[in-house]
Amino acid sequence: MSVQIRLTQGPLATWPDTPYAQGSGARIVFDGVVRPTEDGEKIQGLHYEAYRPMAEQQLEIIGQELLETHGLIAMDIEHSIGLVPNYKCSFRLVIDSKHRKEGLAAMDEFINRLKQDVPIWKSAK
Amino acid sequence: MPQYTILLFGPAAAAITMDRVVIQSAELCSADQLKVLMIQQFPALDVYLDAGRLAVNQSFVIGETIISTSDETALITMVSGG
Repeated sequence: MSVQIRLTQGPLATWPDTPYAQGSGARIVFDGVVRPTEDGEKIQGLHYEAYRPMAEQQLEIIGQELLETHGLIAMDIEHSIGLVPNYKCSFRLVIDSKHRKEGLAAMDEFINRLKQDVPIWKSAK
Repeated sequence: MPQYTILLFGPAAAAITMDRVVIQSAELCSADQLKVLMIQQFPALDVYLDAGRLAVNQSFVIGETIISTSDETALITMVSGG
């Protein structure tokens, strides 16, 4: 069971073709993509600011907790910092689990917790 | 007199164009007391403090927590990652 966390400068690259975690029967990949508008206004992109040490710590805490409670096998969490243009990926969550059910449930819960407790802020550009 | 430095991020930092504030206090404060002092000395932070939480040494704290001046303290307003 493992949780990987990265805060990456700029847009995230496409997900590489990594092997599935041992014992997994499902992999769910969620990409958060920057939309062309924000609050109805056209934008060029989003700038992300993080309170980096705490953001990394909170991502780790949430990841470890959901790994346990949902019985997952592996999680890979990556979030951008800095400027991310429209239609580029700024957040990716990859979950390997034995079955899809726990993976889908954990995906939703993680993102809700991220939007509540992880000190990252976006501003439109 | 105890002197606190509170890190600011995101909209709170933008509101007063500062990435930290220094707060003087007669004595050591709880998180709630520190928030009151912040509003008094930086009224523009009021809206952010209302829904915001303090983090001490990178962990959220409850209002009654007494904060040491040597702790790393930050105001975590409504976040918007993801």
